[in-house]
Amino acid sequence: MGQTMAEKILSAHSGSQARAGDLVIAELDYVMAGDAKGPKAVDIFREAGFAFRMDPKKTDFIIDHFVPAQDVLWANHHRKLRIFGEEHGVEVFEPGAGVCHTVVTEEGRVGPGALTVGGDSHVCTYGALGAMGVAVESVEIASAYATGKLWFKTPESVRVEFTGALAHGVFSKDMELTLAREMGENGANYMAVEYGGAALADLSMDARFTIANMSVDMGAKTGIMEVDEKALDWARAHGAPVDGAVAPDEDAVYARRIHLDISGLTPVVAAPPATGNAHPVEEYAGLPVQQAFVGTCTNGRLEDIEIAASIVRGRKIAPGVRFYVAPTSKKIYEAAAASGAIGALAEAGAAVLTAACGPCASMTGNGCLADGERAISSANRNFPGRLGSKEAEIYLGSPATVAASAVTGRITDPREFL
Amino acid sequence: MAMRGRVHRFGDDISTDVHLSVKYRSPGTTLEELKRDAFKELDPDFSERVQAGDVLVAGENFGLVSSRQDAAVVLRELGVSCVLARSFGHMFYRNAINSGLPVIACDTDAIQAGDEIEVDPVAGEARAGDETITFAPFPDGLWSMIEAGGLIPYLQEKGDF
Repeated sequence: MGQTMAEKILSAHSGSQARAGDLVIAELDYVMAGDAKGPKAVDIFREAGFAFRMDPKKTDFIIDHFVPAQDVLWANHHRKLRIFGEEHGVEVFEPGAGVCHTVVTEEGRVGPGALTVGGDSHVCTYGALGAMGVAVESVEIASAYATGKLWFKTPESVRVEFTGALAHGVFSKDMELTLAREMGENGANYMAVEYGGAALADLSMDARFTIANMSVDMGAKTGIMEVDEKALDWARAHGAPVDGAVAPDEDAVYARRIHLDISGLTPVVAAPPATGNAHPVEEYAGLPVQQAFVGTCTNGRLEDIEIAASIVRGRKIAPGVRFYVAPTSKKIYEAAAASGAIGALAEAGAAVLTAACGPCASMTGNGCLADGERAISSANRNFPGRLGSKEAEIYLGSPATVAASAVTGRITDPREFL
Repeated sequence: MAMRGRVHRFGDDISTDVHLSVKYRSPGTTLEELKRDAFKELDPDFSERVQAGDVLVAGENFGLVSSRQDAAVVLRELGVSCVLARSFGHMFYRNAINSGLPVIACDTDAIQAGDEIEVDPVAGEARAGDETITFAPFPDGLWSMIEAGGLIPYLQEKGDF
């Protein structure tokens, strides 16, 4: 009986033949900690009296959520990470370096076949490189520092097969939102989503990260994509090891199979209250928006910033709309500045923010919505209260849909601008 | 190491909001208060009826949604010896094991309220009446962790898995 990618990765790291449902103790290749779960992990580690036994090169602190520090509490939490980093040789990425998942991949910390955990839901982003990323709590990060290992329940997998090619003005965000609708609420609970199919070959790495990133928003534990030469080249170019790459067996066993022909897709937006509440943009076109946001670990990469810039270039943001743009890393910020994209966005009236999480969730102290307001965002979550008021609405769409809506002040089909 | 107890039966989609409603929780709430109010919305007498060693049995998605570690700790502190369900919310599942509460995914359809059940986590077997239910066994290291009271106490004692 063959194995899925998740089963192969957990087998390779636990020295066992892991099958769905099996509990294993596995060696970790990388542990991501940021300012959300890192400070508590440090407290737990110290209170437990643990010794730091991990290779410090296999972990980082990436300060991205509460930046620039919004108050003394968070300033002190950041300081705590710097002190711990200094003590144990753990690198600290300071505010402005970028959103954790983008930094991790750009820095080559994670390669194909890697087993990684992190203190953030969207650690599954690394799935675009054929790696397995699992979100964990502070207590588990502290334990990983002490042992370099963690326990896992081997997940069942849902196999997703993408075929066909995207039409002009339709993006990987539209694919993933459509998939979330197909999957149903909690449709992938505790499972790994394994992505494959001929359509992936045409997608850029930026586009693939978007897909892997949102796996968790379908209830999944992780998302893992098959790797091809494009993915291997990307990993090598960023200095990541590629010798652990795995591919699923032909006779692997899946809990469910979903086939999505992307040829007929049109731009979609997800209305509140769930990511899977995705429908063609026409159904919501014309609804006024007061805030628009391009950024986040889902959709703030260079391709995303440039498509937004191409839509607003030579135009103005609609009066009464706040348009925030946050590139997801300093490197992307610099590349977008060099290409003229940042200038075009600023000239059109966008507010370009620090490379960080920004107005994705109101916990960051950024970009809250008032009662009765509506936002359109390139982020991954839209439940009530995510961005401040529970009386506000968040719609999710591709960066193109967000930028087009910022220009008109209403939810807008981006194909009118492309 | 087998656990023996009486079954309390619950259905599908029992979220941590049901078994530990935020209504009964504020920053100063003590563990005793949380214990008293566990499952209050669904089964008001639960905390009075539950006895040391009792087993909770549920359907799909037990403990879905929240990452509250309290949700697992309260059950352990009430004396619940383990939780069997067809499936679990993944954050609850990890929190429970890390807090020393065994949670076991298996076919629970044949298990009734009031059954006497015996669960052997290392053999991967549970017996209730005439029914024998199998599940993925706990590897030794992980079971030792549960017996030690969870991830942190276990590593404090052993230093490694």
